[in-house]
Amino acid sequence: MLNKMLKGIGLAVLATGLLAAQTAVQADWSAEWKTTLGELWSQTKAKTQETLDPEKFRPAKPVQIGIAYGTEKRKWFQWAVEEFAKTPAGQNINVELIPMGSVAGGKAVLSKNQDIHVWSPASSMVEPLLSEPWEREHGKSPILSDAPLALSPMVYVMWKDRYDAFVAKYGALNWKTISQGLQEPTGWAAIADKPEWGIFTFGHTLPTHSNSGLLSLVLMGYDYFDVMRSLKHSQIMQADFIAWLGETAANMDTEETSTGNLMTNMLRYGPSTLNGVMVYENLALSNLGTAAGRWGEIEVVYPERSVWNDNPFYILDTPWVTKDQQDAAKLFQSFLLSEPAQRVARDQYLFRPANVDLPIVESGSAFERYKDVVKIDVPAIRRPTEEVLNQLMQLWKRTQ
Amino acid sequence: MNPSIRGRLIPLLLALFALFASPALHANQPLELLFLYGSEKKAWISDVTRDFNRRGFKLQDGRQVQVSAEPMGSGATMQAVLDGSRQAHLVSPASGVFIELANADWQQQAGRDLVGETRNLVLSPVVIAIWKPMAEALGWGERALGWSDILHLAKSDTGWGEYGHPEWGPFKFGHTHPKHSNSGLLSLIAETYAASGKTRGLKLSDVESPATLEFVRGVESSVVHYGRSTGFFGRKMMANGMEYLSAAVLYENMVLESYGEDLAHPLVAIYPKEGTFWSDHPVGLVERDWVSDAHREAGWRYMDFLMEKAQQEKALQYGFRPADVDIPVADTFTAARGVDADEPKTTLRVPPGRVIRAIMDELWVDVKKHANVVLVMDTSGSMNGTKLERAKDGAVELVRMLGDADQLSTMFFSSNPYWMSRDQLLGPSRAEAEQQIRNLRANGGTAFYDAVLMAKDHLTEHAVPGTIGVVVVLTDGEDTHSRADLDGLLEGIRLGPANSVRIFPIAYGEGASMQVMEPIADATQVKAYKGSTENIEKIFSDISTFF
Repeated sequence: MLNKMLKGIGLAVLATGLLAAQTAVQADWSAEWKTTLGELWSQTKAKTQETLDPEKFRPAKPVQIGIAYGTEKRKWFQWAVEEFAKTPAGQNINVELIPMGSVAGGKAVLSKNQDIHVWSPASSMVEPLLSEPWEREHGKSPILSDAPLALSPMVYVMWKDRYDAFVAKYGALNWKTISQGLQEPTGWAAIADKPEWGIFTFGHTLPTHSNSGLLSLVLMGYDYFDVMRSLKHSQIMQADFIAWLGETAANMDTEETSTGNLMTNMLRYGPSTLNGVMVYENLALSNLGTAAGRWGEIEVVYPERSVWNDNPFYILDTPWVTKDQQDAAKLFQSFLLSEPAQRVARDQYLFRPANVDLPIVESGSAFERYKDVVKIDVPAIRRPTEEVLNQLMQLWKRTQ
Repeated sequence: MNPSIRGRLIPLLLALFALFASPALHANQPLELLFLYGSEKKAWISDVTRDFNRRGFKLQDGRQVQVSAEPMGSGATMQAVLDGSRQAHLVSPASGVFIELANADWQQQAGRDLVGETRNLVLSPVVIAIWKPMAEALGWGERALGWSDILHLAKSDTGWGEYGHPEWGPFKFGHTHPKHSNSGLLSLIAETYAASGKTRGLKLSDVESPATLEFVRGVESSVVHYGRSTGFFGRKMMANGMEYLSAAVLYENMVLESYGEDLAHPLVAIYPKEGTFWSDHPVGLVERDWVSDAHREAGWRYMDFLMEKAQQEKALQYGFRPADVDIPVADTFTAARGVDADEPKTTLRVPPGRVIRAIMDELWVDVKKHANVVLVMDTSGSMNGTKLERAKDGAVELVRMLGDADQLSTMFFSSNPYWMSRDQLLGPSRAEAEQQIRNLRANGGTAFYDAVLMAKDHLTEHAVPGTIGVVVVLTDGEDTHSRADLDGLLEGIRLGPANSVRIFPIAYGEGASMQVMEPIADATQVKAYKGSTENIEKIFSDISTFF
């Protein structure tokens, strides 16, 4: 298993680096972040090195593994399953992909869904939602090993004409101004003298089911208190914050449980349904071209405070997962982290590689193509405590 | 049983069981997947399902999948699956509203959803389709139009005269019956939203507000008649032109389709400024016990096929916006075809099941345009026996489906027409009306034309303002005793400023000719039916959805 402490430090360093970015010491932060990620990668590689020998670990008989995963990785995973099956190691391994919201995936493991042998949520931020209750009940971790597969920060996406009008009115796009827009009774009539655009609409996924919805709530808290780290339980229990969150949540679109579907719905139904959403960077970038053919251009906006999604690959250590299945999962993990698979994740599906042997931007890479849009150094918040996460979810539930 | 026989028989039975359960045998029998879907997408589904069946997709157990795709009204589809009368494995109503309602019902009955996870197949917004000259008179292309404009026109004493076109007469509006058709239900919910000034969060208090009642009743006052099928409205509108309907609630794809017809004026789409719904055609597996794992596997296979790029691109040809967002639509949805790829600007949120129920069961009863119906039954000698008894069952079904505030007159004819009752408010007289129908006896000749004329004259002479005047007439043979002939009848019933009575004729059994019935229906811009003892109840039920 990857050293959790190192990972915790890694995230903390990321956050510290972001603070540095805030104070314009961006170069230091970037270097630190890259070092941290480099260490994470070395750990992952060392731990999985043995599994890279397909002769040693090739299952003697067919093994089936089920992976509950967030739909933001759907296309990459589908590609990987197909390609993995062609490798010597993959020939006896049948990988079944089970699309499921990140939070919902953890809940399914908690309820002992025996089809799931690997849980790959969008972010390690949701890991305690499974681990802590499981450990309380069973006295041990439900996770055998983990490894970040690919990185993607949270971004806002808005229809360009709406974004321009919004920023002209409020100066910036952040959760505070989004909340203001949502509470305009006459919507775009008041924001931009455009009554024909209807009311202002914005969406994130359902926080009780999906990682990006939960992270949106987290970022709302950080934006409200204007901090980059250490959002405290006592802060989010302040009456003014609770009232603000309630007013914001009451007008937010949060029905969708999958981030991939939320992005698709925005493109399908256009500004008539959603003026903007918070999603993963890879979903936003990979839909830049699509949007233009349906409803017009979209604008990808990096928040003042974002958060990294590391797409961890949690191989389960639960009673229904056999040793063969764990080994098979390790083989698939090795495949996903191999340079060719990471290259596909980067260039076809716009994930930033977890394998730091592969740069984000290089000649011919997809990020090079979007260099005018992409912000490489993203200021990210420090991970809040489990207590804060759960309390935010409780507060949000009360508003529904 | 003798133990030695039992000893031989049990292994034999087991062997037979094993043989019948074996994949090898399965492989020879295709698995049939029953797919019920909203008839709006019939052309597309027929086309792509033919391809699917031709390709012979196989399940893991070796069986080939054959999809039996049947178009059906959205409400009827969900009802049939709820009550188990159709054991469908896969359903796709025209919008998620019907899934929401059916799941709410099934949650109450069985504690779980009736339809699991869904995917959207194709999209089409609900629009107000209107003749282009009329739309332009309202300001189409220059300002945003919506339900408030429809309300204004509906309440205007001078109708189109207010917009400089008195020759177009009063504003005539149409939408399907909300209890039977998706577009009718969405229309009613959209009117309720428009009345409340909201685009989301519609509450029971909004539905019950007096202002909502006044707004929706105002719009409904201009409705010519209702109906079961959105397609029927579209086709009738195109066939009969501006005199029949000024505007109707249709799907955007039907406006696009109309450009393939030779019409005197083109149709265009109004995307209501107050917001509208998307008809999003969700498809999902039915969660009932007749759906096996093999059906599920087949269902997913078929759904995946429908979502493939080739099938999605075909949807464009039929006027739908593909659910696959990688397929651009801007070049297809243009003003030259009466539609706009940048519309709608505002989407309404589907309200919770209890709010939809309140709209259907309470608001609708209060705002629905009432009907003034004359039921005319043939009791000539040839009707004797089962034929008459089944016709009575059908007629009683019609009486049961009418509202308490509707008015009913009943007439029978053999060699002459006779009134049984006139202008009875149905609430207090329903049981009596049913009894009168049950008491009918067959005898004598057939004075069909005279009976129809007498019924129609009664309705025009005793017209009740604000109601839909309707004659429903059933006959089983040729006219033998009337003073009027067919030409005289057609002349007498033709619609005009002094006559808005619709006549629904039913040719019952082999003796009655559709060649007589169809001109009668056409003269009043409705539909003629061919009935038999097997389907007569369904026909009366279908007719009742028009008013």
